[in-house]
Amino acid sequence: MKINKLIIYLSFLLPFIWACEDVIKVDLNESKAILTVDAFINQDIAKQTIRLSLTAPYFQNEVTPPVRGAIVTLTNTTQNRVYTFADKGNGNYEYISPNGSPIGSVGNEYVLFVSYNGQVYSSRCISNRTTLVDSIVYEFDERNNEPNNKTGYYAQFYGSDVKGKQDFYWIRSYKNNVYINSPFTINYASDGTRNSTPGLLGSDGLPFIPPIRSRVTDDNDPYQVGDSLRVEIWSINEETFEFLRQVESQMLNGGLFARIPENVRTNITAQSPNTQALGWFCVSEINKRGLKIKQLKEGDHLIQVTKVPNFDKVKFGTLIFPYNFIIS
Amino acid sequence: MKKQLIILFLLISSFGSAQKSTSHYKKVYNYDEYKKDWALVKTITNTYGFIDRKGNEVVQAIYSKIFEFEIQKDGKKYAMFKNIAGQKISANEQKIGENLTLQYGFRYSTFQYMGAGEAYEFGQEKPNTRRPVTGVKNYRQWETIQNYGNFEPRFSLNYEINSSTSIKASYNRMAQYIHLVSNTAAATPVDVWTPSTNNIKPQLADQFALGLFKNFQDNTYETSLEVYYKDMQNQLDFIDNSDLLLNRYLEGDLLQGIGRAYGAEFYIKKNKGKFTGWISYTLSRTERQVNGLNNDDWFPNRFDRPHNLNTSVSYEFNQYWSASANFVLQSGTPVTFPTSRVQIQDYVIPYNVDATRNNFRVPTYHRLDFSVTKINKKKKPNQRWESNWVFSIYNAYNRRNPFTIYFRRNADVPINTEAVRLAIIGSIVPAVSYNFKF
Repeated sequence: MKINKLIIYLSFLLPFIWACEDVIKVDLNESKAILTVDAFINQDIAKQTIRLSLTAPYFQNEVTPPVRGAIVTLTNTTQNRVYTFADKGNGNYEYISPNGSPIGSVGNEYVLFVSYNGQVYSSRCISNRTTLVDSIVYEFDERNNEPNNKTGYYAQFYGSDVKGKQDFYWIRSYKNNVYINSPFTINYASDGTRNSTPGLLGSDGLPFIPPIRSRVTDDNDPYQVGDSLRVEIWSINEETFEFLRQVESQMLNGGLFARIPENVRTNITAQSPNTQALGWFCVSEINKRGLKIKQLKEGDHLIQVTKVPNFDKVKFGTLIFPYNFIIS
Repeated sequence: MKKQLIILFLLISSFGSAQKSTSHYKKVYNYDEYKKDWALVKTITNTYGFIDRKGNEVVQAIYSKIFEFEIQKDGKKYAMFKNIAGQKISANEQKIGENLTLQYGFRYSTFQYMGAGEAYEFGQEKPNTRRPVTGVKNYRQWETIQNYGNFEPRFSLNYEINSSTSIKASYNRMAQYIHLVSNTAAATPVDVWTPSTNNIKPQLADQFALGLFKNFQDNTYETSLEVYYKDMQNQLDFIDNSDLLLNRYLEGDLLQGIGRAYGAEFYIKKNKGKFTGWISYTLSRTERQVNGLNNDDWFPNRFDRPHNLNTSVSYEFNQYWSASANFVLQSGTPVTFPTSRVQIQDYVIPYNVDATRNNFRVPTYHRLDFSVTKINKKKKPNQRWESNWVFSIYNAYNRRNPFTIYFRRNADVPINTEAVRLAIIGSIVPAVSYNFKF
């Protein structure tokens, strides 16, 4: 075989292989409407709201239909007091304390009753302790103004888990008094971390670590000068922590490695076995702190620390966390 | 915790078990490599075991390979798959008369789930809910946590009616000790495998098949019609909101149910002439039933494709030029889609109100490919070098077949939800290739 005579012609067009995504229309099965109870309330003196709605077809791109005419009562069984939530006609049921006292305190047990269309639904919850929003800092970051990468003020908060038992928190942040509801900023914690196991390797008593700290800013919509920012830490229980985790994973599910969609659980029980309700009930102790974003001079990399509004005992410099940072 | 999948296969022949003498090993490996004061040994029949410093066989040398399954602080966990098949009994062929051939046999397989490591016990919980851990038991190295054994009989019959027609019937039972647990919507490499454990029973399948085979026109056409039914036990599934990755208590999130698969396959092939090709069409169903899922009703398995059509034709113009075409059409696989939206704390959460599993199908997959082949002329009649050119078009009509469909919130208007189709090769792919051999 004369190899030197061999000429190999090899050519091939590069296969135009790419994975492509496009939005399509899918006809989903008819869905039945199920009562949804959205009852996250707290032991603050502010107005408490429970929202009742019905589930809607998945692609119906509007607020789910409100439920009117239900009777919503909350019983603090520890203190033996009953609170009636008033129907506002838009799905919201509200309670405003007439004498400025909260509905209860840490450790109280609550029972929620919802009576709608002749059916009674109930749920039970014990409120846990929460921890303090120690401070809020922010910095200006000039970015490319692409999605998830916008120019603006990026804030963080500091705080520590309370030592002792395993605590669960839900950190909620508000921009101009509107709850930041991006699925990318659901911010829950078990002790100081996202997922702590009790014992040596746990994060009992530790300060909240990033990204818990920085999730008070929506990267798609950072703060601008003049915006107000409020961080609230709500105490939750383990079941609620698990629920938030499910909510997060169901909302962020997608892409090549998408999981099979799974139904989030509920802690609302229907008294009649043939009916069903969805939603969640949790009573929290909360601690909050807010500030207004002020212009920082260019070149400053940090920071503004808030004054403590309701909590005089904590002063600057006596902060519990062991991190060094500059206070301008 | 590191998780690896290890399958251990071993075959012990009926004479292999005679090699138990502890003094003659083909090879004795270093001590302390796997465990203190133990050495791995290899026998003449290439099976492995362990001996201690005194030469006593502490683990019988009957395993073909030793792999770690899971590494824990206190040692390693091993899963062993031992497959005893008396070779002489396992396959028997018998001819009865001129036309009837019988084949039958069995094998016996055992599976040992071994320490060192922890084994968990789980309490009862209502179906589709995470079962709580009620007990943790520690096992020493090589201590058997759970033992399984299964007879796997097989039987087949072939009856020749005449020279061009025959009937085949078969039955066999299979046991599977390694399980795939996957909760991804599409088949992806992130599948989790788990061995049978004290909580996970081996999967068993009984398959019955019957087929009629007939050739026409002096074997120009081959045709066949086959039907099958498969009954499956201990099919593995998982609860809603399960945690399958790196979960120490994975077994508490798993469910076992039953399955069935049945169908008919039609096949016709033309062997001779310028124009050749084949068509195969399968009508089938693969379903499972798991208590706690899909309201306890049967639901289609994630690999269920009721219609499956494959055709391939080719035409030879002359000695050098030929053309061929393929066409594939398959029902889309079932997927679970949400039906509703639930709004809680301004979050829009997808929800399936009927709690059905695999309630929707991805659109039908179909694709047409063409190719033209040119065989290069040999310059000398006895030349060894042979080569050809192939010009082909994959996905000729540019069909964007979905690999998977998922849902998401619109990035700009968070209250809007949309369905997204993900296609892997969503375009026409032309190619030229040069093949040679010598």
